[in-house]
Amino acid sequence: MINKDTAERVLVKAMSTGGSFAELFIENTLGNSLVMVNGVLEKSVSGTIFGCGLRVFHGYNAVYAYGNDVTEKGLMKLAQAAAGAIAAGESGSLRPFAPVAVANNHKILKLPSDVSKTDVALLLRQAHDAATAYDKLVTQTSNSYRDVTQDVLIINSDGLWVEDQRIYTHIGVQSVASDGGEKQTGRDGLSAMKGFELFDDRDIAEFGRKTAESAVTMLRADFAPGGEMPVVLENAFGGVIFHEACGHSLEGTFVSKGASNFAGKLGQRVASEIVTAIDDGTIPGAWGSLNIDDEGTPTRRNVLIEDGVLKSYLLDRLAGLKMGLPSTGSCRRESYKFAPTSRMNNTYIAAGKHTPEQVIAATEYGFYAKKMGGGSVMPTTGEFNFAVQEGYMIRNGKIAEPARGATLIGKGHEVLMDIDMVADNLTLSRAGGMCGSLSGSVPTDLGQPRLRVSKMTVGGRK
Amino acid sequence: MNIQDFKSLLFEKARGAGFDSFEMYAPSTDSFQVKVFGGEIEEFKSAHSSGVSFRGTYGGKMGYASTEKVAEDSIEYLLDAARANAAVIEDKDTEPLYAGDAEYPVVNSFNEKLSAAETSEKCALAKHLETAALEYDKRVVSVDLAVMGTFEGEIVIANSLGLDVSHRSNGAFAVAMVRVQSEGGEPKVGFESWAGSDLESFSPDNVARTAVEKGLAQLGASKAATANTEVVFNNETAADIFASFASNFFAEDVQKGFSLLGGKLGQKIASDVLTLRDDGYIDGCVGSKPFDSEGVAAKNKAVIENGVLKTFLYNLKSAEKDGVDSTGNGFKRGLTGPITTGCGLFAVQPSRVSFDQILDMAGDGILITKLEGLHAGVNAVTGDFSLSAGGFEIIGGKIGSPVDQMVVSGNFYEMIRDIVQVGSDLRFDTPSGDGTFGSPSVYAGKLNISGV
Repeated sequence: MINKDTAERVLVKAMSTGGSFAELFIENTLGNSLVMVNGVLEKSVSGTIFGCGLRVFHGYNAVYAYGNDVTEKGLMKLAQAAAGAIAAGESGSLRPFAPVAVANNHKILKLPSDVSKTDVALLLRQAHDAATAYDKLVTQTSNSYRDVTQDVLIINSDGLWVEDQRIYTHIGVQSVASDGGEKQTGRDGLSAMKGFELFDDRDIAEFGRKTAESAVTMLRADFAPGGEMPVVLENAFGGVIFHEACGHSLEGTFVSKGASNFAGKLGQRVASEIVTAIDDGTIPGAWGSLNIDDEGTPTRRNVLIEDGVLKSYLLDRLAGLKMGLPSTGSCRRESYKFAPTSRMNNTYIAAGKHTPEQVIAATEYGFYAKKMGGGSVMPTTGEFNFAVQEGYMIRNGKIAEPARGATLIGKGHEVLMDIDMVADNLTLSRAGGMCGSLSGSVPTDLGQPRLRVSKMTVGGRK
Repeated sequence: MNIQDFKSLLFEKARGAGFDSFEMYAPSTDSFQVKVFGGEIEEFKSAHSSGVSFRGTYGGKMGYASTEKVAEDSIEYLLDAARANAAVIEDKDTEPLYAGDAEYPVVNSFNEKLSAAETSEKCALAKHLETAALEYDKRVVSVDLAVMGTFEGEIVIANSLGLDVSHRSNGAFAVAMVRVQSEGGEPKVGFESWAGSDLESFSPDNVARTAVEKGLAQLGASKAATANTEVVFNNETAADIFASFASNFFAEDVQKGFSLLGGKLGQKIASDVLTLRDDGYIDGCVGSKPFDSEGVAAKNKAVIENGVLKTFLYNLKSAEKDGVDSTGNGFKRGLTGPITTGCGLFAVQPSRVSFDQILDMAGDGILITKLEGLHAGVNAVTGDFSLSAGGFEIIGGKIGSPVDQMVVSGNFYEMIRDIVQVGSDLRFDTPSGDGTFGSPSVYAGKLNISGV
């Protein structure tokens, strides 16, 4: 994509006015996506993302410039623009490039470029057929497929020269059940840092059936009640609670400014002692994994909270610089159009001691969130919210009638303390969430075992 | 490579490759953004990006491909990928291209003076924004975001039917997010944004003051009580609600059964006081455009007039299916997205009733000033919403104590029938990718509030 002499000239130019460190991120990404609505393949699009981001540090601040012109002329223009924004300081020096070969932990068996779009259409149709066969009440389906092949080259003034390829495959399944003027939706997905082999041992028809079942169940459900009560969160995508409630607040971007409830609390008790939470960017084939992060640092398994005690934040190079800590390999960006910052990879709460059945049996009255939708958080205050896609009431230690339209809200630091039971059925979601924040939208996975929060606000209409 | 040269070459090769009709959609953008923290420029961003999206009919089906590498060697990829994509399409409805309109509205959305503004001036404004917020009140702990930015872009759409349109626009924006805290209390966040077409109309002091006051007003908030009560949305949150359900008015969604408005044209679906318009252009309004993503001239129209559903929002394909004209709502998301439907300036129309009068009418209830989780807590298909909210008690027609940690729940279709009154304080949100949304404050009637 670029030769060494050019890279050298660009980095030197970028630091010439007082920058201490400079980095190039060159990206070429190919993507394909197909959408089938009601069993008819309606959309098929392909696109290439191509460009370069140049970042220069001066003090604890950063200048970022990007463009699509990756010729020497174009890159020197970026360097000029970046250098022009820096007025003083001691220019960093350039170390000789020492190319590193990345060990690939995510073997791809069937490359997206070898996938036939007809095979994709067959897959999407399996989900549609199974959903509509499940019940006559299933009136619409919308199923989608997406693959991404991202090639990156990261070069910096410390002599780093590293290339990596990230391949992602995703399928999303949605079924709508209708009865008169009422409609309810069931959604699920399957995603991984894998090629088309993702679908080799997975029955996509089962996804169609399950989303149909969820939609039909919710169609017959009454509205959820409102108020405070014990809440049981199911495993897998239930982990969205930790992602929203705490994960974002542990990101260096917020912590380094003190704009987080967890700032200055390393080594302190921040959660119930049955809570251990981990962010692991190394899990082979997982949706949020990477060989190296977007600064070229190898990803790691970071224990964030151990037995309730805060052990680590999620840090990128710049936040680490501000805080006097090393990067945790957590620096990410959607594309070259975003300055990278600390983000999550695959975040989960570790398995506990109870069986999943014990958690329900110990709950006299409460709300059981079987499937969660998305959510959001304001890291400064810790206030989070997330939607429940499929929920039930718990009565007398048993899962009772379905309840729809619930939203759960709370404050992250409070909810962590209120987790009073953790089961042993940990699993990652693999549904394929995209996490949006300052550096754009990036694939992240999440997970947890079934767990109970002693008290949470359930927002409902009854 | 120059875009006109690229177009000639692309069109020549597309013809040779057997496409019956084809189109090039080419946006280019220059953007600038500066973020200030602690009196220093924490982040400085400068960017230029451009790209080309190609679509063409091959064997009667439309295929798409796009690239950000505008160079001769990308043409083969564009044509091959578009052909492969066309080959799998099963949709029987054709996606037409457009030859263009005889006339387009004149939309002046390029300000030369803004374009020529010095970087140093923009940096100074961002620094001013931070300082003004910090100095406004001693309970301001930190200004976590003080951002000022500008952008300018050009869009070119040309096709084999003769369409050849282009439009230049630019604008500026600013964002302030402050953290306020009183001694021993919980921190609260105040947020305010501004968008405009010239720097003269940007007052860092006003934006800073509004952000701080929003935060301060929430200090000491208590949890709301669970109740079915009178709810007023302020203008910002009312616009959020209508934006979340805008897709229910897309003909495309109606035709596919993803909206409950099918068969309701000409019928009363909302309260008499509700008039909702989607305008393609309004004089002086940021977000105005002369044409949509298919090159169809922008149109101004009422969607709901005094409660009656007047039209759906159409692109060329959904219009052809219903045998009507496009309403100029063809929309393409980014460079890669296929043509779908989007909004123009989509807004609830104001009345003459002031915000204070609306509070008076509501008597006792809840005023909502903040909504979170709009991407998750809304079911666009059913109209159900259940959203994390913050705001104030309304007591005896006046604003009372702040409340937070509550969820407001209801159903959009029921809510628009129950709206008691809309206010006079129309405010447009900052333009987003798929439309610019606005509303005055809205007294929605009774909704469910969940808290303690």
